Amino acid sequence: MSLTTIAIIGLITLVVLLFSNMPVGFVMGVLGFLGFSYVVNMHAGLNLLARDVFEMFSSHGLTIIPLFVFMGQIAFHCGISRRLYDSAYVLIGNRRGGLAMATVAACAGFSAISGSTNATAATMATVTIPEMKRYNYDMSLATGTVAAAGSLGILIPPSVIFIVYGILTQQSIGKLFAAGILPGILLSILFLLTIYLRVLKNPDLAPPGPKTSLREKIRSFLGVFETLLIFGLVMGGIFFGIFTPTEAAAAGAFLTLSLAVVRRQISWQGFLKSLADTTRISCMVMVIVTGAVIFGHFMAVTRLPYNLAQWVSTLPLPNSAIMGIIILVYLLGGCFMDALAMIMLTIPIFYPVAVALGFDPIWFGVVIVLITEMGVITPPVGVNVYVVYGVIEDVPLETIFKGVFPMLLALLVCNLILLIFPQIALFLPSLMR
Amino acid sequence: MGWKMKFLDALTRKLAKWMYWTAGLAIVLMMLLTCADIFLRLCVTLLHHYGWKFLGPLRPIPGTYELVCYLGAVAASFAMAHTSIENGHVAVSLVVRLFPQRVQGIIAVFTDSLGFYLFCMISWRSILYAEDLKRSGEVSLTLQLPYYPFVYGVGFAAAAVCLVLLTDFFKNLNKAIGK
Repeated sequence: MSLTTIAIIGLITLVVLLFSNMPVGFVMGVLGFLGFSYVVNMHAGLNLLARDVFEMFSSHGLTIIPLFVFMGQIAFHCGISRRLYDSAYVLIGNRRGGLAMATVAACAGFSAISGSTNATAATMATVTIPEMKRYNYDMSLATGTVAAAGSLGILIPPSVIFIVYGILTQQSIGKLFAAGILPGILLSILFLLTIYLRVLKNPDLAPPGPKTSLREKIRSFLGVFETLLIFGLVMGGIFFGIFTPTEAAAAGAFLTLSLAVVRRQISWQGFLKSLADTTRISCMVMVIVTGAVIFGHFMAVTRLPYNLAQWVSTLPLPNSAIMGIIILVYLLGGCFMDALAMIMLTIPIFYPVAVALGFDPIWFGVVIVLITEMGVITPPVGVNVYVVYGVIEDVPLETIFKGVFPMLLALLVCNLILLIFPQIALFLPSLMR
Repeated sequence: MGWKMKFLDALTRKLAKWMYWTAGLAIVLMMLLTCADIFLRLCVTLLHHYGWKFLGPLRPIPGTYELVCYLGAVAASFAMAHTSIENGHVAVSLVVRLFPQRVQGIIAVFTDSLGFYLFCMISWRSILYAEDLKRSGEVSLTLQLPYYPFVYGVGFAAAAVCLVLLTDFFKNLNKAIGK
């Protein structure tokens, strides 16, 4: 049997096992180990298994994950999300669609301290939807906005997806974080524009909220202060080369915890809950990354990714068409799979192709994060939609999916803009040392 | 579920929970250690720039990098068993949910067996790897700390996951045979 045949059998088995409800990290680990052992030999496979697991678990790069997750969890449990929303609410809530716009702004703000889409969507749904319900907002617009804007969590740094992408492709995590900022702002603006246009067409969707005085507006800035401080410390530290990403994550987590303790916004139970959630989420990410590394070693010995990259680069198609096909695969895959799992599975195969075609690895990372953002809100496995549904309960799933659709168009437009103007993602990283 | 199974289940849960909180403690220590190192580094910078002599005795913590790596290994590995109990690992349940309970049980028995095999191998080989490291006397660069206790730790943590998967296997077997 040729090496390519073995790799293809491995990939087919992987897809079959993935749909068997077996944890994605376990599937990749066991198939990677068995495949590597078959191609090389059992002894080498067994040695690879022990070394890969210890090396990944003790990798300094991966220690950034629990620290950033901890920062986000503390922020979640100490009510930063509520204060962010209150600020945005006071500033723009009195306009038509203002509360939905405030939701987008608060989600973007919370994404600056949280690296997960689910956490951002869950947090914001709890805070914002009751308020929009109170002002008779159309529930499809309200829930769709939270589900879609929650996806900003993986684009605006810190982002768990950027961290694992950086580790697997050996790209600078700091540069990836910087690359996510402008596209994150662009996407937030497109979300705001979508809401504005929808409300312009049908003003009944989102009646205006209460009026607020100038004094209240000025005071509301205080709610944004702590987020700016934490984001400034983390991103400023990385951007100006003061901290390594791991140090920035530790400093960010410590500052968030200190602010919460000093302001008495977190209880002992809240702290323990944050720690327990951090431990579970970090372990889940680490197991997937380790599984992907073992599977990646199997793919590497079959040389499939390199042969595929070579073959694709000789195809009589323009590079943009090939990138279009890759994007389509991510888009379809994202409908059925978790964003992190999807990226882990495909990076060993598509990354060499993208590099062989001459695309910038940092830009490619931003593009696939944007596409997987669509995956978290498209049926049937739109995780964020289920998260919002779980939090709200009395709004049917179809209503949320209906509300998400116009936001998907905004995501598509953002992707197109990024494909045409890669500089949007690459400008900030180019300024880094 | 017989009393032996109940005992195994309770024992596994207790062990997994204890390991889970150890993992949590490792994360807090990682944060504190890194922050202390940053602070002490800042003190040294201030001493050099402004000549503040009272900062003289302060030095960055040697081997922070290594310690953080070791703590990372504890955090990731010790949390695996409890995360498995809590179904915290990402899995695609979309297709399996469409099947009747019994078929779901059969599929789960198969996937539990595969997972059990994987973690048995990880546990066994990690212990052998740790023995190798112990024999060769391999230590970390700065602190000269031996690697092997942490590799033993990974082996032990993988064995705990085996226990979780074993209890799941028996539970799903009952489901598969319609008990």
